Amino acid sequence: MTKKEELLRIFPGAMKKRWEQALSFADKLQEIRLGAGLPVRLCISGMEKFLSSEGELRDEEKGAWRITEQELDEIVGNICRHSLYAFENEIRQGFLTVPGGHRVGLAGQVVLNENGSIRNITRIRFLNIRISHEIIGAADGVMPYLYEESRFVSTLLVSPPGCGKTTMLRDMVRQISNGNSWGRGRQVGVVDERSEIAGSFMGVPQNDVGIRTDVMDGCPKREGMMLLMRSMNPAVVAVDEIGGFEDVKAVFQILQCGSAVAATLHGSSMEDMKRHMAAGYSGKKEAAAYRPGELFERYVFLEKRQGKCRVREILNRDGERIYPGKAGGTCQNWQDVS
Amino acid sequence: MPKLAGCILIIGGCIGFAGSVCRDMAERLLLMKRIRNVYENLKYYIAYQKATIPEALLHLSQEEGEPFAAAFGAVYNECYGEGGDFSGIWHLHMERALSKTPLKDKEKELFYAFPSCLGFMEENAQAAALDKLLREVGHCVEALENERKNKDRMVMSLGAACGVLLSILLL
Repeated sequence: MTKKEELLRIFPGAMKKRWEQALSFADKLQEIRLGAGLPVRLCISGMEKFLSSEGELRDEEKGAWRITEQELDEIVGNICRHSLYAFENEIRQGFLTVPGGHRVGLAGQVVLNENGSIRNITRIRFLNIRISHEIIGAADGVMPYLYEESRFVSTLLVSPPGCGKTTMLRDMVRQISNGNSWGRGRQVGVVDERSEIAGSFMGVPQNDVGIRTDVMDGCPKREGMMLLMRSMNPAVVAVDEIGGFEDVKAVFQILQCGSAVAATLHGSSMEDMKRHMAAGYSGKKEAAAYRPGELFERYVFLEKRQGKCRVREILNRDGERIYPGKAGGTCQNWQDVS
Repeated sequence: MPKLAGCILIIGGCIGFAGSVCRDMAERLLLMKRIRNVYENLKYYIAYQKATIPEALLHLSQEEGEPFAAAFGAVYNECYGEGGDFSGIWHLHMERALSKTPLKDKEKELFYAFPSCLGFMEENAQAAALDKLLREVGHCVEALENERKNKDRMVMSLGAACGVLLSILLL
């Protein structure tokens, strides 16, 4: 199924015709924003466009299609297969994943529990459809640095938001699972709390995460990591956006069991990373056992320059830079994924 | 001799007509019981398996016989393929499936009404919403059972009596 066909399936039958032309740019499409009574906006290659009632793309708001509440309900109903109850947890978290791994962000009226936690979102009046652009080979450049004696070593990807951490982690998972020039294929367990790595729909990964990969979708990170260790015996556990004491503790336990971990973390420097990982550390008796800076064998720092995502440096366990080396060198095939 | 044969045919025809009325009633009862069964199964798929409605219908299309199996399969295919207004899709296929059944319009409406109880964000609430329909179908089944119990003999007797009366009048 092409990306255009995947995206067309989001919209109910009667609406499809309006989207035909706009979705012919599906490969360059980044976002579709819908709001009750507001003009339909699309972000194509960084440019904002408006969709007219006739299905034409325009630069100006004038004549744009203003989507109604009923049309939004129809779209949400169609995405949820007319079974909102089956997507209760996803709606509570504020997003739905659709076939193809695309994510639909939701906003509307929030219903709270007595303890103040979110019970659900009713009257969904704003949608943000983020188009998934999986980049096969995104991790090609860094993979040679992440193996020792044909064994994948625990790696932490660190960068500010929007620098392609998750895209790189996804490709790393695929390569570790399928095997590559540096090591044979290994069993990988993915804890995908926000369905961003595998982009699972109804439990089935929509992105290529490799043939030896088990995915625990929508599961809290710590519980997911422990569940996978107990039940699936992974050689490598992959997890997105760790941070805080409980996550570090779970990573430590996995390492104790002899498995490796591939994870991402928000930050831009080693100090930043240590600070994030140590969050919630103080005052805990067992804290001394888990030293955040010493859990991983490799630290890959990503950054964005002139709109392009790139690998800034790769450090080893001791904080020594192994990329770029003295002779320089580049991480090939790494491109703009924002 | 021809008169006697005519009388026998008239009486036989009237009894046959009465029999077909009874059979229709029995078939209506059977269909309403099957509709109740469909709703109970849907409730199970919703509350315990948290399956989506099209998924539940796909299961039911494999479990149920005609006229429902093909209709459920068609609703599943349309919902997973083109997508669209579920209420319209459901009504279209169920109307087609029930068109050749002896069910009365009021009874058919209980089946067409299924999409109106959808839209809940929690599986137990959604299953509870189905209970209202289940109760109504249950009442209908009960009424049909009582009706059948009381009317079966009466209809057959009336049929035979009408046949005898017609024969006498024609003689």
